[in-house]
Amino acid sequence: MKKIALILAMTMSAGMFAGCGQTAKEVTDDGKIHITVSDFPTNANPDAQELQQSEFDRFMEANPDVAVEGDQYAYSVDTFLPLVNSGKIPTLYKTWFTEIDKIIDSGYAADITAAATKYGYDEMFEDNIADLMKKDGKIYGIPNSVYTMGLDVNRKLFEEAGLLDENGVPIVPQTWDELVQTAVTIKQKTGKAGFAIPTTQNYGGWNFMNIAWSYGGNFMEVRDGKPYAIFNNEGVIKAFELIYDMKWKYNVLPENTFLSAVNVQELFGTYNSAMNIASSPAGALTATYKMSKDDIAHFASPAGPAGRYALLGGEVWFIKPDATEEEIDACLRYLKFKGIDNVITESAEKSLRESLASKVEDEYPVISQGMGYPMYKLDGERQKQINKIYADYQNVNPDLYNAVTDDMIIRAEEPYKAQELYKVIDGILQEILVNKNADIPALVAQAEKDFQHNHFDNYEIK
Amino acid sequence: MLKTLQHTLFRRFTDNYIKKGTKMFKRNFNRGLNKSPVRLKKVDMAAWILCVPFIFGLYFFQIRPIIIGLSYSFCEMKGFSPIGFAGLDNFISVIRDTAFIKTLINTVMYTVWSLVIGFWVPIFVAVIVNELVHFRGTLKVMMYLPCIVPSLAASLIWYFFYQPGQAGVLNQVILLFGGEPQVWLQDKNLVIPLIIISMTWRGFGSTVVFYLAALQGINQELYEAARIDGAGIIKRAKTITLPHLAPIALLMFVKQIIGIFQIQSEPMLMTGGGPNGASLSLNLQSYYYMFNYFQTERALALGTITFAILMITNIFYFRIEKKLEIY
Repeated sequence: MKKIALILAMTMSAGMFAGCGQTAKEVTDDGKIHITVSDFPTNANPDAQELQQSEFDRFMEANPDVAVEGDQYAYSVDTFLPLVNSGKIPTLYKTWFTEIDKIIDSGYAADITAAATKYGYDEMFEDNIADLMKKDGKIYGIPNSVYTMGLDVNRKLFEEAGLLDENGVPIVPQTWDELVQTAVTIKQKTGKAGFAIPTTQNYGGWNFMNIAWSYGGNFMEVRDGKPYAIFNNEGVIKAFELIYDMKWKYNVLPENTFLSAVNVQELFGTYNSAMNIASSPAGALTATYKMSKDDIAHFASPAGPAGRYALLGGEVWFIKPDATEEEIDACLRYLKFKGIDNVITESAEKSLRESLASKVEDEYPVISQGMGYPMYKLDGERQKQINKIYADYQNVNPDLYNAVTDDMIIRAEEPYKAQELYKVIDGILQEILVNKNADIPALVAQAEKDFQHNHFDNYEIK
Repeated sequence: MLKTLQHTLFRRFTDNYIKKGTKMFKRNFNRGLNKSPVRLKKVDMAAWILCVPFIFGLYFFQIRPIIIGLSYSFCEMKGFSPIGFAGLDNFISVIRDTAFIKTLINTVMYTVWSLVIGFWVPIFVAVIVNELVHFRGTLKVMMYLPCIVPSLAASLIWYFFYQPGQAGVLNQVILLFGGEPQVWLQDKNLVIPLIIISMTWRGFGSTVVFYLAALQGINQELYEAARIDGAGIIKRAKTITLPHLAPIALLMFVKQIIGIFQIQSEPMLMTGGGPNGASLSLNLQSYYYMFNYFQTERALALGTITFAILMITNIFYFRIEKKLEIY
């Protein structure tokens, strides 16, 4: 009996160490450069996996010295830090524009200036986008796609409220005041929320920028090389008052105040809210909430007294900080193959066609004209080519999509501590939506003071 | 220059500590095996080997992270690597943050409410269950069931209970009786007690089991003797039941303070710390520093502060325990 116990104990202890000796050593015996790429589709979606794998295969055929492998990792703030610190982050990973600053500042992206210059990426993109990818003149990222924030419109709720024109296109509010009136009509006719704005996980602030800027609001300015919080101004206060009135004067917001962007999407996708600010209609609307693709419409954000503002956002590719020069080179070759280029190559066209065909199959809306903001300098010709490809797959009425207008002012995120700023705005939004007696000017003044004290007093622009 | 020097010294200190710790452990382990005055039999060997996984677990998952976390909270950090010695800068920056005092008060309020709401419930229920003749087993199982619900799922269930408007489960009950729908978690003054109620629902079953064990350990002859002496039910509870429950109650009291003081996932899931920071706890703030803003040093400094507060509470507990001379 004792012997058995002893053996058992030894096996258990040995078992503990079994996993320790092996480190994830890359197999390099074949002499190839091995890279991994994030955002490989999950096992729940075998068709998409096959599609992505076929793109990898075609790339490897054209570049026999590189071995690419997909990694199901998709950027998320909770998992990024442990992964990047343990070296387990994919060689090439994709994230959002909002994360650029902190990732570069923390040293989690490789300096790719040399390779980017070699492949012409240094002069390929529109200046304001190229600037986002740089720090101290060095290039760290390659943009994947850009978008401007617009207004998601639920066509079915508009229809029920009698807000469609003779062609079945929603009569879209052009100013924030009109938006409130439209929301009131929807609430009266359908009982559903007219408008929804997130208030948690920093999404509230991210949405709120579009409104505040259009009321002439500003959040920060640089004096003598130091940033200062200046959000105690009329524009910002007016924008908060708009949201306050939506809740307490017109009652057009959802009952629940604590909403993340996903919750807002859910309300929209399940026909419980008619409008919200969004980058472009999310895939989850049709995939998860089974919304009909013909009920989704997307237009430019309404204008305020200071103009029609749209926050510029997008996705960016970074390369892990300890990548070798060969790996960086291979990653950029892959991005070029994939279609991040100012000409549409045959391989890029094939990838695009495959992905559009799968979108059509998934009942996701596809329209002919490119949606959004030009990313490339030589965009005219490229865009025409792309539009032609898209036209072959168009499955919805293109009039339901008009997110870019001539009067639109595109603006990038606030340059310093944007996420922290969003958190503060989330707080104010929550306060004014739960507290009918909230004193907006006092809240904004206090927030400005706190923000300056907490984030800017000791901040040095790097 | 000075900072680099301090940093080098500091690194040497921590490295040394870890090396020394390992050496000391090895020495004691060997001493335990060979030089112990009592000759070790084979069975001790097995016991030692059985301990190995636990000791390694304790070292790698508890002691080492605590020491590293403590030491890094005095460092300038880049991600998870220290790049310089910061002295008390991190602590000053965390404490100077305008949200700190509010967050600290919130955390204390969580603890206070958990004692007000959660501490008495299990004692009360245990005494009642102990008196039952029928269905005792069934009731025990039923009470324990919420404990097997993962805290994430429990928080989500309660999130739906507390939904404002007509969709919320609790509001539907209120509407059924002709009342007005409430805003629940969106009320700044109610948010903390409501979160505590949800946690009490999930956690009280396991505590009841401890109290029941203590109750069943009481010698029944004491009650019989008391009854013969003419003691009524209140007198019996006062003189027999409660004194026997006191040690376990004190232990639970401290356990609860320590547990609730570290509350993080429940407010994160149910309110995200809102409305406007009204349910933000120290640990949740630390999580935000770490994962939302990549400020490892501030996250660790706040963690160290929480640790220090709990350490003081613990010392206090051991003092009381000694004074009362229970156990």
